[in-house]
Formats: sequence, structure tokens, C-alpha cells
Amino acid sequence: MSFEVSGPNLIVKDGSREAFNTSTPMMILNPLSAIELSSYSVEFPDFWKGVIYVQTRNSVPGPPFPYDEHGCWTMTSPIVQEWGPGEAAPNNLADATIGTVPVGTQYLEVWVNMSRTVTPANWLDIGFSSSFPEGQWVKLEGGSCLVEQAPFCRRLFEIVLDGTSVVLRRYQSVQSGGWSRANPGASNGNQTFFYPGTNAPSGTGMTNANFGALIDQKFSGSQTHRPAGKEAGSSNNVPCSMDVSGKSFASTWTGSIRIIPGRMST
Amino acid sequence: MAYVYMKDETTSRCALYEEPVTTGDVEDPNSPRNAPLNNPGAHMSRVRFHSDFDYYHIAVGPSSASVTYPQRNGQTVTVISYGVGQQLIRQGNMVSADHTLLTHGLGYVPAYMIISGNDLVTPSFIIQTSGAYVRRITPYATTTTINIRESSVTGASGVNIPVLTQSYTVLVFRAPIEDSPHLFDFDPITGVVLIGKGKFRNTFHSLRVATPGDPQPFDIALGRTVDIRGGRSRTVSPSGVVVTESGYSGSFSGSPSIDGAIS
Repeated sequence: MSFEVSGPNLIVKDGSREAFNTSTPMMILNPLSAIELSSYSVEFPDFWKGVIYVQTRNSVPGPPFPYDEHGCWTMTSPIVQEWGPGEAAPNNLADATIGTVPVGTQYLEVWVNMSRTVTPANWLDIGFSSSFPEGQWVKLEGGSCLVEQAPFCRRLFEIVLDGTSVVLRRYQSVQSGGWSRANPGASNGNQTFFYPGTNAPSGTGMTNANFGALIDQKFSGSQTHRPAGKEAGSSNNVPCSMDVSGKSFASTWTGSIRIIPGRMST
Repeated sequence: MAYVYMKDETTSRCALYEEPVTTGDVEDPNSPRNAPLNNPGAHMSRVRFHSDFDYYHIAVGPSSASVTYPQRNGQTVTVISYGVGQQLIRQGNMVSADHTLLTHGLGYVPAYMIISGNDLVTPSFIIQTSGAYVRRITPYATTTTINIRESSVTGASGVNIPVLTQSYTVLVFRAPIEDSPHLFDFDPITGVVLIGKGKFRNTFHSLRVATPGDPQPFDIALGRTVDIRGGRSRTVSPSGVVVTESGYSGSFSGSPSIDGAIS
């Protein structure tokens, strides 16, 4: 027979195999309560960062005569930092409620199809890789997904249940780098400076910076390339730029999200 | 409490559920005791089948698949070099690649589950990490294939991520469709039982709660499986396998899960 009753439970069989048993419920998905979003953006802000300024001098002995080669390069320098829904301002990334689901929802079938529409600045000479299959449908088991990783940072978003609300949470984290604040005096030699920048919070902006995106580089034998105010007597000094505009590590992912509430009762 | 099968020809619904109360006419599809029939969303915990709901029925699989993730070499590159000893050197690299697990040929993007051991593979899961390197994977689907996106961060030259082969069980699920006019149909000749206009057939193999005798139960995550802190990450599989990058400074211990199996 295809049907059996065992105590309070109904069993439907396919031959000897139990195809359905009320005591071991199937996963149910409730498409009537699905949440559909299109052109939805998940935005990650720029990192707190300053500028690392490297001033170089190399004495060439000749022949025919000794001379100096001068150079500089500048980089944005993200400092150690944590962002997320549990962080205090200004690093708080508030939850975004993207819908509600019925009472009793236990599982979310989360589908996302997103592409990166704002790309972070490079890490030195290479772009931030995407850990996420852009433009493809990804089923987020558990709801969380690390979308970007570079040697100095990670970025993550998740779409999870909070009671009967479905919330989007974002996190970003930058490691403690090896560059602490350096502001040596003017010198003719090799020097490295770290300028915390106007957007580095007081108290945390002075230390543990990472190499970020290259801003500028210069090299010559006839000019020096020391930071402004650090000319060390040079009358022919052309500094490297410390303009961080256009060097943002902000990132945005935009696309479609589909969420179907489900349950597998035990 | 026993389960009740009810149908309502007016709303063209059928359902199998526990009654939420014992009041009202048992024959009235709109009585309080039959509330799950015409308001299933409010009674998800009591419903075992409803014609409005969808289910994970196998379309392809369970199929065995394996991926060999190639060695990813560390990299040391001179980015800037001026004269003698004036160099900016990058130590590390970022690599992404895609691997096809299975060709399903269904013509639509199906729901899927990838099982490794007794765990679902969750997005961004770390499969290798040591010191400065990490390799993680994220499954995804197209209209023709089930794939894995590999994403790696390497260290300096000589610090390579070694080759790794992993085996998986791939489950590809049917698109939920109504393909019958009948709320209930039983063919005594073939033994086929059809419920809810074809949303369920007894010939289907379905995702359900695991039982002790199931040959390959697997854990399904009910919450986040990745955390980041200190510029590094930790993944905790649905069954609780913890993989942590060096430098991670958080305390993430995973999320609840449920044990699933295929009928």
C-alpha cells in the first residue's frame, strides 16, 4: 500500500521507501511570503585612512662624478578598524530591515544576484578581488557571505532572521598594519612619513596603518621629492601628491535579492 | 495530536497539518481548527504539507563530484624601484577562479545544496588557510551548471597554497510547479500518489528532517556562518567545524542548525 498510519503519523510510501512521513517533515518553503528586491544596493563605506609618504635618496658614486637620485611615492594607508552593527559611531553600520516573514519561519532561502557597481581602490598595483560570483545566482545558505578580501581587510554582508524581520547586516574589518605614526624632521636621507589624514579618528588614526593604493610617485636626479615643509634646505623640491580623492576603498554591490521563508519542523 | 488532511475546493487548496485548536466544525475548511488550510503562513510550524507551499524535491542527484583546486603561488613583486635599494615591494596576491561541479541541463537556475562530509557547503567557507594565505569557496548556480567560486589571498613568493582535491555530493532541486489539476490523486495500478496539483508525488525524493538511520544526513545552517575581525575571518560550518585565519580576533562560535536528509 502507498499509505500507512503509524500512531498519530501518516506515511506515504513509494514501494518500500518512505517518501513522506509526518514525523520527519519535509522542508517547506512559503513563496506567498517571499521578499523580492531589485536594484538593491549593499554599500560599504571608505576605510579610515591616511597617507604614507616615502622619501628616498640614493647616492650614486659615479664615475664620472657622484650625484644623488631622489624619489618619492605616496600611498593611502588604511588604519586598523572594525565596522559593523555592534560598533560605536562613527563605525556603526546599522541593520537594514528588508522585509518581514511569518511567525514560525526558521529557515531563509536567500538568493542574491549582485555585481560590484562601486569598486574599491587598488591594493598597491592590483585590484581588490571579488570573492563573490558577480552576476550569478548564489544561494546563501546561512545568509552570510564574505564578498571582498584583500591582504589587509575583509568585507562581509549577511541576510538573516531577527525575530520575524529579515535584516541586512554589513561588516568590514582592517587588520593592524605595520606602520605607526611617523613624523620625523626634515632630512636629506631616506624617510618615511605617515600623515593620519583628516578622516582618521583621533586616537586610532595614528598607528597600525597598512599599505593601500598608490597615489603618486616621482624620481629624478636633479630635484628632491620631499614632503612640503620637509624640504631640508632643498631649493628645488617637487613633492609627491597626497591627494586621496579618487582613492576610496568604498564598495557597493547592487542587484537582486529573493528571500523565501521556510521551516523544517522537528 | 493527529494530523488532518483537508481540502477546500473553493480556494483550490489542500493541506496536511496539526489542528491549532479543537473548536469548530471538522468539515468546515474555514473553522478555527482548520485555519492552517486557508491561512498556512500563520501556521507554518503545524503544516506538514500545503498546496501553496514549495518543497525541495530532487531533480538531479545526489551526484558525486570533486574539484581539484590548483596550487596558488605566493607572489613577491617589485612595484616601484628607484636606483639602488629604493623599492616598494608587494608581498601577496589575490586570485579568483570558477570550477564546474555538475552540468544539470535544466534550463533554469535551480535550488541546490552542496554537501561535504556531513555539512552543507556555505558561502565563503575556508578550505585552506595558514599564515598569510587563505582559500575559500562559494557555490552558485546557472541555468546549466552548478559551480564553485574559489577566492584566494596568497602570501609572499614561495608561500604557496598547496593543491587540494575535495569531494562533494551535489543535490539539485526541481523548480516547484503545479503540473496536475488534482488536489489529490491515487493511481492504484501504478501506486503513484499525487497531492497538491503535483507539488508532491511519492516518487519524489525530498529534503526532510533526518532520522537516526539515514545514510548521509547533513547539517543545514539556520544563521550566519562567517565572521570577520582583525582583518581576518572565521567560518563555522553548520555542524560546528571551525576554520580560523591567523590574526582573526573575534569569538564567533557558529549558528544553530538542523539535520536534513533525502527521503
